[in-house]
Amino acid sequence: MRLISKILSPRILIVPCIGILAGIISCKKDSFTPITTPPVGLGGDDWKQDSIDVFIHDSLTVPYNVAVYYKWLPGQLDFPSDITPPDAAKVMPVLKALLNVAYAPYNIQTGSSVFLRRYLPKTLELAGSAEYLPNGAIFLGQAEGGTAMLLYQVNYYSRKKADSNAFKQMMHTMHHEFGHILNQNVAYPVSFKTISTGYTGNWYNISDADARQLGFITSYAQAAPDEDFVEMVSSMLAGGPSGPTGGYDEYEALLAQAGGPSSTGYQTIKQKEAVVVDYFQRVWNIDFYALRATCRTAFVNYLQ
Amino acid sequence: MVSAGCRKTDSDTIGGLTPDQRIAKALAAYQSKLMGAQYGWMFYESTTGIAYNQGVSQNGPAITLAYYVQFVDSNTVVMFSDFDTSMSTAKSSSYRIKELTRPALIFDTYSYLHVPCDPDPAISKSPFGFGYGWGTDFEFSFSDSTVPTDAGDTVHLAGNLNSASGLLVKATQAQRDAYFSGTLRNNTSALLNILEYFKRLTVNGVIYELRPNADRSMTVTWTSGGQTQSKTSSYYITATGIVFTTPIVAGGVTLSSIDNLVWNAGTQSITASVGGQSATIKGATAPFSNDVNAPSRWWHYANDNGYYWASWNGWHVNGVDDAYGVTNVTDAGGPFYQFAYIPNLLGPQNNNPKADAFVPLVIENNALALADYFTVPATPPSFTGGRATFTELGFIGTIPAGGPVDKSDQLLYSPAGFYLVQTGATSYDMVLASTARAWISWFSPF
Repeated sequence: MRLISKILSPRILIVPCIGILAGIISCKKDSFTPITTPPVGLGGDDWKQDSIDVFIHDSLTVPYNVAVYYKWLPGQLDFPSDITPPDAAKVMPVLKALLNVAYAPYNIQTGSSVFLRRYLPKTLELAGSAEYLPNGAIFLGQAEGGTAMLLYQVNYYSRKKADSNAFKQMMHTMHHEFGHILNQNVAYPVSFKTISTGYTGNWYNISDADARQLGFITSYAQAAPDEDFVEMVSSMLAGGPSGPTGGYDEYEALLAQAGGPSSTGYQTIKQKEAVVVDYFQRVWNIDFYALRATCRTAFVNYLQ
Repeated sequence: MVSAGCRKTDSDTIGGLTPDQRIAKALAAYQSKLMGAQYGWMFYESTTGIAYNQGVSQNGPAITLAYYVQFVDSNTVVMFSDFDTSMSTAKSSSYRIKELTRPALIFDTYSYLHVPCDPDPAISKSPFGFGYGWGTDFEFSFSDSTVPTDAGDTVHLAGNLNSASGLLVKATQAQRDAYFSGTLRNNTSALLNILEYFKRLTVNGVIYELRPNADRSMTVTWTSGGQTQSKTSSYYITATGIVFTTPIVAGGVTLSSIDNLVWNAGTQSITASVGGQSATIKGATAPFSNDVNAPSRWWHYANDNGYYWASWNGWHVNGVDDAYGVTNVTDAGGPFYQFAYIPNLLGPQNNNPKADAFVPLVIENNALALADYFTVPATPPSFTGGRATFTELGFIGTIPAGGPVDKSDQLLYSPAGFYLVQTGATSYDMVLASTARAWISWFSPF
């Protein structure tokens, strides 16, 4: 001890002394009861399995390794926000629509389910309502770190032709979030970020029509280059909001709002389109125009 | 000191159980408590008047809702709600009992309970604004300080987001049977059968005017010694009747509830019982006591402050909300947002005579705009006789004849004029004076 005290500072010296003393005395235990049941909640929640749970297991978990959370789990979504869980009756119809209209085209284009099995985020969370932000905007979807995808407004789903706007919005959201997931795995070319200037946090004060004239396919595309890229992807695959009809319209109709083929807005969007198509070809070996045609056919055929 | 601190004289367990074992035991006890009520539960949920979203709070009316709930198995619940007349049929959804900071009862898929929580005002009809429900909850902590087995016939809950308080009370067989036989629907729709705005309750020869408000409160007006008095309380509706959350003490009489409501189509009146005495409720074409200064006060509030009056639905006529379909107008420059009355919208600065506007507001390019066509009443309206009477000065654009806006305008120019009933600090109902069967509910968006 004396030798140690000469080498170490007194403060450090005290610690091993107490440790040794405590170790000697407190470790003496007369009895030890092993715990046989795991702590409450460890390993996730358990509930009575019904047809929805069976469907999720058979159609998403087994083929795509995706877990679907649709029951309200405190703290899972942004806390503390006023968000409501999905109506159970809407869960299976929404998942079927996703499988048929958003996922199947990728399988058709890549020739198998390997691509989706690998890149689909392993967690799909569903919320009944949107998430409302203090600035008056709402979240329709979120993608996190390539691993989780959150789809809001499940309660608004309808397969009817008359309600196709809500359906298109949902597909737009899915392609938007999946675009993020792909970017989070392999980034898009940096040159994309310099095509446009004028990205702004106040995108929600700009109308979609005005944004198009500035070279952004939607007003949200003006939020940041990441959003711009995936808004291009989703608008080409599923159409975009506030088109000439006032609702969701096809990409060409949106493009027409940017101005004539010689206008800056039109040319800027076309430049971005070229980068998107090139990215899908080079990185994922997917013919984007063919994928787009498949998506459109799948959507039109799915409407009732 | 070191050796004394390390001597263990107690154990980590209480009653031989570790914390995890005690949690598991408590959860199982709550589960069997909820499922153990043979005839289900009455569930009363009261809000604090504050709703939260993203950590930002909004103030609004404090309300009480009444539900009947039955926990049929470990994850399934069947319920009825008084929130809307459409919620009088049983609906099944799921629930879960889970350990959070405290043991919690979570209604984990959409049910009647979630509708007043919905952040979409088009669904919740919440006055708290975009992104807020009514300050109700669907995720609760058990808040009794006793163990579940000692809680008796009541269980207290506290909402985790909005701190709404919940009270579960074991239901009787009679209550259960009443809900499943459709009595709730009868009670939630009873007052809607009376098409007149003014509804008079007569008990023991004394007349009370009843006014259900949009914020789920009821205003009761009566005269006492020649003086008009009124009190307002929130209320809820069960299979038994209409219950005032705070009993209304009117003169020497306490009104706690109006029970056994029966609509009689022949006499166009409701028979009921109040405090064990028989009562009737009938429509009236005029207010019990007209607030003669209200029309002028209404107009000046908006005019003098540069505000306007807004309505979500336009006219309510003969029992139908938005009777003329103004919310579906699409040819006026954009999707309909609100119907507005704007004092002195037109003035000399536009080379126009001074005039008011009775105008639909539409959403154009993500912004609020005047509709392409609307009528222009003279300013100010006449306030004689304690009524507001409007005269047409002209119009802007081309109002489609016979369309929703045209019909709305014609009603505005009714020669009988309108009573103005102040329903809140910045809200008025404008009631057609001739029949009291048509009205528009104005609020100030500022």
